[in-house]
Amino acid sequence: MSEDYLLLTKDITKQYKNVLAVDHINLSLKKGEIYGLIGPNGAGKTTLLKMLAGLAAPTEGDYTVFGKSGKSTASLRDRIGVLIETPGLFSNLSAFQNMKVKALALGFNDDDYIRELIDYVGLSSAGKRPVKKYSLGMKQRLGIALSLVSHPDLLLLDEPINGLDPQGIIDIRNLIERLAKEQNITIILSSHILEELAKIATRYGVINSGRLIAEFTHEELVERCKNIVELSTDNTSGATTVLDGIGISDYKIMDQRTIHITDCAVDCGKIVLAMANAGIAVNGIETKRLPFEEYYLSLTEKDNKARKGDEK
Amino acid sequence: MINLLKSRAYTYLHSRNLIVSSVTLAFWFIAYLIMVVFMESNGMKCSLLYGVWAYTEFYLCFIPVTVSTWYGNGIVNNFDKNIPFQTKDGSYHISSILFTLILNLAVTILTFIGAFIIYLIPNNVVTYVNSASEMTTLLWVLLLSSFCRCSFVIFITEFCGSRIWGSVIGLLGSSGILHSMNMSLETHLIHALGIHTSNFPLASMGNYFIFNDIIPIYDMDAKERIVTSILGNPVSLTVRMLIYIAVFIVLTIVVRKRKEIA
Repeated sequence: MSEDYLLLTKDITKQYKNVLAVDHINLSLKKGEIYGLIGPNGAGKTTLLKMLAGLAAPTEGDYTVFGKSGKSTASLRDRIGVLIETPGLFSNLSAFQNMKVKALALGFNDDDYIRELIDYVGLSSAGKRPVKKYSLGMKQRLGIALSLVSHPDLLLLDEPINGLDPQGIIDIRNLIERLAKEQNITIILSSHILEELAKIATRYGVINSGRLIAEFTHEELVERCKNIVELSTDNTSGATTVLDGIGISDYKIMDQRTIHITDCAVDCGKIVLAMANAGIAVNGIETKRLPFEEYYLSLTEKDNKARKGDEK
Repeated sequence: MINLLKSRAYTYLHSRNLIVSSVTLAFWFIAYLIMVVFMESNGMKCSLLYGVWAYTEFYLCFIPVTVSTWYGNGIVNNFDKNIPFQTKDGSYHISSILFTLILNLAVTILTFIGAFIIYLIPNNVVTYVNSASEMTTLLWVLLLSSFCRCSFVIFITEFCGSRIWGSVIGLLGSSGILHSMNMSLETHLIHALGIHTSNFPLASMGNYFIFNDIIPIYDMDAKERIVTSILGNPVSLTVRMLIYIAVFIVLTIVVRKRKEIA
């Protein structure tokens, strides 16, 4: 069974003195997947990716990459490409020279392939310019090219679109899509913007306060966000009491007049009737598509509430 | 490891560090050559042993700057994060130490060659030529001395995570300025190891003094610096310096390991 998976983690945990950065995460990844790791800042995404890349040691648990675990993973150095946070670059060297440094370190010495990669990520026009003169987007593209230098099967990209302008985001997104399609590379991609991840990822994991709180496929995400019921009323507190009374708990008060009910199976007629019986005026009720971002926020908020409940 | 060293060599060969270091050392060589051959050291006569020692002093003073750059390259800029599985074997960082030691060896040997070229060109400065065994001892002690400074600067650069601090503290530590502090640190270190009484000459563990104590203190007004033999027991010097180098290399690895865990 584990042979089917390219990457498996078993209760992987990272504790920094008083902070539990990653809390017993179990993750499995099959070949060809683009796994979107989503979570707020400080949720533990980078720490998790660092551990998977062998750049930080887990304090508990273990992981298996390409069927190997423990010390033997060092021999897989060239099969994993990493871009953690911002790429580490020699600012006075050109893109080609930076790539050559990484290639030599990993035992590759194919200048033509390096030039191909530079062309692939759209940096051939930069020529011999030193990297210090590059824009942020160019540096990110070079970072991705660096991670590809050893023909990896698995790519770990930590917030590759962070800080980029809209065009830069589109460029990086297209590049990642091409990598998955044309080179069949399995990718783990972290971000705190689900809307962006949803354009490329095939599966998602939501991480909050170090824990993996939900996992779903792209199809499941689309299905879950397909419908929400937007209820408009002047009395939101009364309306929520009514909703609780008829057994609807998946809702969110958006503002003083609007409630979003995320349970797709609700009967609008039943809601209107219950509101009327309670004397609450309904100004409007309609079915809408739930923004991905809102769905993700509802998951993290629910987890935060549950944690607070546990603490009490 | 060979691949990692090749990678570091490539970085160095394409960096400005190489140009800056080469130009500086070339200036030093030419200036010294002019001073000895054409200006006859302003009338100051010396022995070959003293001449080689004095010429090498420049590189030994230059070590904190060069070594912090060699060692810091690829660590300070986070390039190490581009190489997966660092926690498993730490080979990238070990290669950094090895590369720095190799470069130090190369530059020290070049410095010796430079010194011999300058002083063996017929001149009126060298009035006493020391024996081959005396010269070999000197070169050996100077070589180890350069490795002492090198290992100290490597440790400081790693400890501070900064090339600038590596240079500055390296300069202070390699000169006599931090003598008291060095001595205090050495005493505490040896005390922590459980050695409470010792006849070991602690003060001379400070690398500055190893380098200087091998040449007799001379009178600044003297017209001649004829040193016929180096001071100190070469075997004892060797043992002390090897301990010094090993301590700082091990400390560097320990600090790096701690950073990886964090």
